[in-house]
Amino acid sequence: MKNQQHILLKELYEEFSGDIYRYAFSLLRDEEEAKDSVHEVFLRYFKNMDSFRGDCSNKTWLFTITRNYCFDRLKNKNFNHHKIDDPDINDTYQPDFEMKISLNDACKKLNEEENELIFLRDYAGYSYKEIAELTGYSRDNIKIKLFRAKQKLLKFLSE
Amino acid sequence: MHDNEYSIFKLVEGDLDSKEKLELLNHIDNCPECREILSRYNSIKGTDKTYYGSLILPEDAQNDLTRLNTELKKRKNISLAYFSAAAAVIIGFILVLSLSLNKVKQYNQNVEVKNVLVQNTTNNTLSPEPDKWDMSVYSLNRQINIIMDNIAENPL
Ligand SMILES: [Zn+2]
Repeated sequence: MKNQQHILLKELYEEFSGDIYRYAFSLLRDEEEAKDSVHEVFLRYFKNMDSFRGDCSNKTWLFTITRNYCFDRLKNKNFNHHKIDDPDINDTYQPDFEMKISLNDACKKLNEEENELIFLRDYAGYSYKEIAELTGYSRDNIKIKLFRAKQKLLKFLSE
Repeated sequence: MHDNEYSIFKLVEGDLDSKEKLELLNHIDNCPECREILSRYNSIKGTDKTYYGSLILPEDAQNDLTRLNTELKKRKNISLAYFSAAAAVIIGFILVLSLSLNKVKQYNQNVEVKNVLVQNTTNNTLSPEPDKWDMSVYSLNRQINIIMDNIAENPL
């Protein structure tokens, strides 16, 4: 039993820790906070394992925990919003490096909801239906919000 | 905002039906402004993906797996301790309950024996002072009733 948990943790961690970190970062815009999120999300996953009925994928379940945790953090008075250190951007993609730095700055100007939608849609490749299930927003609402977020992002990038 | 901006966004998101898509593409072919907008929306989608893909969980967080394992083990031990404590309390409770039930049972048996004895004695025609006997039977019954009431009110 102990060994099973050990193996499951290792597998889930290897597969999803990176995306949990990115998702948390999209919401919290803080490297340290995003790092802590990964730890807390896995603890919560195992703590609430009995309530996980397997009616969604492990990824969706972990993303749901991540989302709840991050919004709790954002509500917390101790959370220092936008105290941002720039994240570790893997600079092996040299040609885009400048673009990524400025995109990082532009993202800081978006709110967490806008950053979240951009992350879920453009990076995680979620459909509107999946985003609706995760966030509880209607599909039409998501489309409009995402459109506004992109408009803003393009505007900030061209400034 | 160009009139077609939202449609172009939907085109990039793959959210137009084939008729709308064809109409828009025909327009874009002849409109440099829309072509420019399309290219910006296409490019930002790609850039977002690369941007998030390039965010790497910091090196030191890789040790987190070991820390997590230790913490989960600790939690498990704590819950095991709670479980053992709860089990001990329940077993203790059951023991006390069964002892009390035995006592009540024994007490009832004693009362029955006493009743039989009292009845035998009162029926005994050789009794020298029947009135006195009646009084003691009365007070004994009364005491038994009080005790039985107490037991009923405080089962343990
Ligand atoms: Zn046009």
